Amino acid sequence: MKKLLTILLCAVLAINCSALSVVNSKYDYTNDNTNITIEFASDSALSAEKQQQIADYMVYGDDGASTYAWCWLTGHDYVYETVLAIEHKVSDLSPRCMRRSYSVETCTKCDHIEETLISQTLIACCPEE
Amino acid sequence: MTSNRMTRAELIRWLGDTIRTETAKPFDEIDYDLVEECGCLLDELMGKSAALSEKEIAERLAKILPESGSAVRKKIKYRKLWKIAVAAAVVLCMAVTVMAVPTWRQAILTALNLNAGDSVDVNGITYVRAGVEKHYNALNDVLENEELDFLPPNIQTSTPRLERIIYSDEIDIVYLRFDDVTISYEIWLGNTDISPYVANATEYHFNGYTTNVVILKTADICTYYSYTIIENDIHNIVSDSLDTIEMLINSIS
Repeated sequence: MKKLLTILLCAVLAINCSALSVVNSKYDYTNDNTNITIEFASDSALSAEKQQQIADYMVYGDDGASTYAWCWLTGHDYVYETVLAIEHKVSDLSPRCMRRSYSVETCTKCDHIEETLISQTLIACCPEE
Repeated sequence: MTSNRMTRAELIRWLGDTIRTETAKPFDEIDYDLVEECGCLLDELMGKSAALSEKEIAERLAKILPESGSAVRKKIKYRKLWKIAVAAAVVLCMAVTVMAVPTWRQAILTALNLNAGDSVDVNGITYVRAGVEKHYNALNDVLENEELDFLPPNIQTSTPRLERIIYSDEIDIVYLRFDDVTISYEIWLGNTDISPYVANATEYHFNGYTTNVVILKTADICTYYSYTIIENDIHNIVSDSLDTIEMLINSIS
């Protein structure tokens, strides 16, 4: 009986952890004028730390520091993902939010990130006021 | 031949011959340390012969002669290797530092033409899924081989030309990329809920389909955002020209 309870508890914890990781695939940035959400796929292969780094890069740009050069010598380990950047309330009327889709190339070993805009459109995200 | 058996004249001749033999070798095989040592000794023997005793001459010659001065020669060689290693380390550090600065890196890659960017197959279509690229000759080959189920635009004119199809299976969107980058074309697979896009849209009828077009003005530019249900998907086309949207939808068959 104890074993069964332990297995059940482990299963519940595992489900909770995976649910938390899915929830954590959106990153919100707000300042006086803009509100941007960077959204990763729920089954993203990127770590939470890497996602945060990419999201910061997409909103604030390159900070100038880089460990790129070491991989330039040893070789990169690239991961490609489609990342969505939703700029909220760019229009007064629905559809109000601008969704830009980027193909993001990132290296798991260094902080190299390269984004390519592949599409942009208005989506119905925020309601009209 | 050893130092104590050579006269001063023989020694001078021998040094001259050694220098001549060494410098006659190919550029990268010349032992410059040997040439330098021989040259210095020759200079001192001819110019300041009185200043060197027989013992000093014997010691200097021992450095040069292969059988007796090998240790010194090896030291000279090691010193040379050490200098090369230090120089290489300095160059490596400089390269790493330069490549670490994004602006410099970009400039270098541009200069070396290593940042050619996305590969473009001028005679076909590049299909991208999860970062993996495949090249096909025609659109139909992509649809058949990749088991994609949507009605694509079938453009007969040379422009805009379909270059890439990017499939994001995690969000069920197919992106069509043309050589005209002002056009955005998304196909929202399995999505027919167009109601959020109807309220403020103008309705057009192209090729038997109902297209809802929303216009967004930024500065002096009008951008047209169109939403059309085609079979089980929404085709979302964005362009600065309504004619382009009409042409693309008319080509769907």
